[in-house]
Amino acid sequence: MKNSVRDVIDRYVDHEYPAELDDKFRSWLTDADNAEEKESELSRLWDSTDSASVPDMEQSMERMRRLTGITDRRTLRSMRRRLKMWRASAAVAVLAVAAATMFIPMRPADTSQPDLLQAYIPKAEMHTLTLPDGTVAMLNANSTLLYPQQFNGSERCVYLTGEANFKVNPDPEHPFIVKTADFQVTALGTEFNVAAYPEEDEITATLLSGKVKVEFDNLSRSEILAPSRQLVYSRSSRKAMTRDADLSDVTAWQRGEIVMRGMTPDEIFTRLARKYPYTFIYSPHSLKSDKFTLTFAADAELSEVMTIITKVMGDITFRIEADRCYVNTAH
Amino acid sequence: MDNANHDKDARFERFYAANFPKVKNFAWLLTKSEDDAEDIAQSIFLKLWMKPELWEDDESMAGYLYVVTRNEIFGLFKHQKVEKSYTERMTRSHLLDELWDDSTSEPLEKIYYKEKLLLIEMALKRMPERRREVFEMSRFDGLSNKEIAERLDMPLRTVEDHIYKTLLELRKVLMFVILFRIFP
Repeated sequence: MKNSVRDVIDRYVDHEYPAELDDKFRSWLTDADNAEEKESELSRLWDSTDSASVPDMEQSMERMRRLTGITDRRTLRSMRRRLKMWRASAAVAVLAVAAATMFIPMRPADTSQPDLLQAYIPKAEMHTLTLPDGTVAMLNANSTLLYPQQFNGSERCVYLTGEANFKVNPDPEHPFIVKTADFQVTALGTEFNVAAYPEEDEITATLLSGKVKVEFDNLSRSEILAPSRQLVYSRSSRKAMTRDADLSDVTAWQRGEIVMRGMTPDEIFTRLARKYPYTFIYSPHSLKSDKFTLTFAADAELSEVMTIITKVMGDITFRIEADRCYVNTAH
Repeated sequence: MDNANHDKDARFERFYAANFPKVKNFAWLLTKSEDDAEDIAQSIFLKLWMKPELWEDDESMAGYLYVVTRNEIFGLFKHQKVEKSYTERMTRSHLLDELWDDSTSEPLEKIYYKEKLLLIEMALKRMPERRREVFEMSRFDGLSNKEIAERLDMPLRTVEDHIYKTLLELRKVLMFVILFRIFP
């Protein structure tokens, strides 16, 4: 129910007022009258408060690292690491090592060359992580994301092999760039999905909301995507095309579902091998190149999935032993 | 030892990155000051840093974070002195009675008296400077329209128009509240 308490809070947070009114609002808010209603309206305001981003997050994060001592511990660790590296190269003259030991601790933390962190997601797993700028990346199985401990400079660059979905923390001054071996995607406050597995010919970038620029073919060509559009780039033919994407297909992996459209048996088993903790053993040449469309629910067992696939394809059998799945052509 | 520290640092950074924006944004909405919001949010997270048992199980954190943020903001607000004269002038002027239509008033309305005074003040503070000045001279200082016109060297019709528009606007502000009460 809309009420006076809610009205006061809404009108206050929506506009700027002279300082004396700020004081009045504060004393009204903290006095004991109608406290229960104030409490429930504040809690409603809390629920609707933006939790994704806040201006100057980098500075706040730095301040927190100093306050909690994380900065000092990190500097110490990176000095130890450098010392270890120096000591490890035994061929270097003793004199040089001694000089380095004395020199390095006196250097301030090296901020011009940020350490790259590596997030590797093994097969049959997925993982969500928050990057230092507040961007949320959800990584699919068999994927690696390299990102700096701290974004410096004019761009926020990360390096991806595999598949990930990014909810980019908006910051128009610092474009967010995902680099892959064959193309790169530049985003300004947006959500998008990049699939760039080395074992697949086609790599795709799909925009869920906002605006992105995809650069490909050695960055010589580019395309700007509108929401729910997808760019598909073929490594072998070096051809690119854009099309309308089925967003529920593109994000199916985040819900654990498997959606395979128009895929050959070889492509299907490659996909399943990422999703399930089994090694697939089959001879690619013996398989037909017919294309199949299959979808499976999030909790499907591999044996259920394979039973359906063998029925659909008709000409194969399978056998699961320990962590291996053998696929044979039926005769 | 070093590794354990490293893990704790990394976990806290993740917790911070996920939760800091909401805390600071909320404090910013209510304090209207980025500096105050930043200080409030940092001090909350610094306290949490020292009590890992509270955030390492972050499932239960959402409700807790709201409570500590609210308390921190209230702590800041309660330390402030408030100058009340404007409210007193408004109360003395019987402006609320004038704006209030008898057909809509109910006993319940007394409960929201302070809220209404605040709503009217917010609306007045957002009005064009001249219009507000005219209105305050009329209702708070008790000057006649003619006296105001002379003092401000303004046509009488303009003074009447300012007052009329202000009353209309203020009724709208209060109507807004009533309308939603009738159709919840």
